[in-house]
Amino acid sequence: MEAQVPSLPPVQARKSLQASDRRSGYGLLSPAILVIAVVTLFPIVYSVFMSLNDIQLTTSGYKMSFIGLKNYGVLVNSGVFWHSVWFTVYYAIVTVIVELVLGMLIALAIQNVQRLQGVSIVVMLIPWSLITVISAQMWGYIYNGVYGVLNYIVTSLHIVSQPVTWLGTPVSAVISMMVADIWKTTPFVVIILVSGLQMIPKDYYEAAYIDGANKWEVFWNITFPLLRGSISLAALFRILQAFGVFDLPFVLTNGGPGNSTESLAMLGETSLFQNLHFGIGASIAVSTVILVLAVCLIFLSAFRSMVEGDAA
Amino acid sequence: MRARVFNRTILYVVLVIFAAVFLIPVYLLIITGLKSNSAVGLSHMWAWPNPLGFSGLSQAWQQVAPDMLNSVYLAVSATVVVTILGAINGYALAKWKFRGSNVIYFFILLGMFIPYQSTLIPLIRILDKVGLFDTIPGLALVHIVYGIPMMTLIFRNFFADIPGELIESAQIDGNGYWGVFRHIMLPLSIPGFVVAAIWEFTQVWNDFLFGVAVTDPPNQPVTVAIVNIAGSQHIQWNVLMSSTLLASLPTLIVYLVLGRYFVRGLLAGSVKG
Repeated sequence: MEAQVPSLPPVQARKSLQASDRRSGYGLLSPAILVIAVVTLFPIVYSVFMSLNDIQLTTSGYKMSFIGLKNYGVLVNSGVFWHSVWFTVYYAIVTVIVELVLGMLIALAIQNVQRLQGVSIVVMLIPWSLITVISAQMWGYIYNGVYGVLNYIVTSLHIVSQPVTWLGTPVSAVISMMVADIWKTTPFVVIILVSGLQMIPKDYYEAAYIDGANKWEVFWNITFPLLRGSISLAALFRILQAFGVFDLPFVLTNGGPGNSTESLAMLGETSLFQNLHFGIGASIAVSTVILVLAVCLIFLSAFRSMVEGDAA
Repeated sequence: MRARVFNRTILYVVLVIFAAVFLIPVYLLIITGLKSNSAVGLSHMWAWPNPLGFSGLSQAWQQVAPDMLNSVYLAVSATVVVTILGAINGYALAKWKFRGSNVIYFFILLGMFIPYQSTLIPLIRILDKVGLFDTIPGLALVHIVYGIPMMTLIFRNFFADIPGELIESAQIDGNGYWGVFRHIMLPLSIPGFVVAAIWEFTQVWNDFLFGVAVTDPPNQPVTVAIVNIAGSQHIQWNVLMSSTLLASLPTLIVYLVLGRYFVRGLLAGSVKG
């Protein structure tokens, strides 16, 4: 069970409480348990149910007819669906890896300067505190083919002679979107990692340096293993967010050009609310849940064996 | 010695470069928002607005003010309710281990792993049934429910570090379940509350997906309103940037004012691995 929990086991509470007190733990949590059942389990079950039906909107509501796995059959044969699976997967992998590496570099830099730590962290908080919709507008302005700042920079530096329509070709649109994502969420990784770094006792480093370890060895043998809780926490949050990426493509590219930046979340939303294909939309949602859970499990087990392999 | 000074200089240079990269887009956002529409142009893109043009700002304010108010109601009410719920959950899970508490914790955390778009249809149907569809309270309820996992995680980790001796001595003094919570846990958990509240406020304020799915104008949060402004055919960049500036002020102020406490709370371990 604990394997899915994105944390190191917290310090165990002392078991000094009486049985009668413990019982009130149930009483106290029962509203929460009810809510959890309704909130996490019901939507999944309901989505699975809907994905197995053909759903037509009628004047009196919905008309459902059970069609088994036909909706999934439609998905499996749909190039658009596979394209958005592929896009979502590599978008998530590239952005999460870049954000983790950059975040680690910045976090180590912040940790190692004596002054300006607070200022650095506040600067980091600004991009993260900007609403995604807002940072997407801002990047839209930067990338704009006519007024865009980026075009101004690259043309004044004579890197290109003609303004580039950054969001106009599939490859540059994907890269532009990744840059906007990395800009906004690297600070989140930095903050998690800095707070993890603060918790590593200083004597570990001193002892390692006395033993003659160099910086590189210290990083791989002390910092990295002791930071694995923070790293996996940051990575899991980012993986979850990246697989659900919706507002950034919605505002910046609207999935285009063509469907080159159409994420699974966008495809699902489009089929549900614009095309009103509820059955298909639900089967996309269910596929996304399965994909996300699978990726999280793979990441956790891979990360665990990597760290343990290092320690051995 | 010289090598160390050299290393340190490199560190500062790296940090300054990253700070610049992170701040330049924000600088552009601010100056464009403060220009008059005619002053927005490529050749003076970087220039500080001269004269300061507040026409964009006032136009933007007229457009988004009602939606800002919606977002304030939404974010404040959701944040207050969900931090309290999270604190109670975290307290029960961290300090009153009972049979199955780990299983329950697991299921609570599972809530974080559900892609939100997969919940939209059942969500809309339920809200519709209880008459909360297309209302701010309905949207707040959604955020409260989906905020519970993260809040529980934050408070459970925070409370886990509070020494058991404190609780024992409070119990000897005759405090029961709620007594311990009120007299020991709450006073010690102010940093936890700051972290949790900032986190939740930002999440709710930033949300777009739930807002666009659950509400229609005029009950929409500001994020949805801004996307609608940007969707119009002829984009006035200064108005758009002004409205994004206005909409980002609350979270920006929260971070700049409470940032210190947020970081301190983080460093105290409320969001730890």
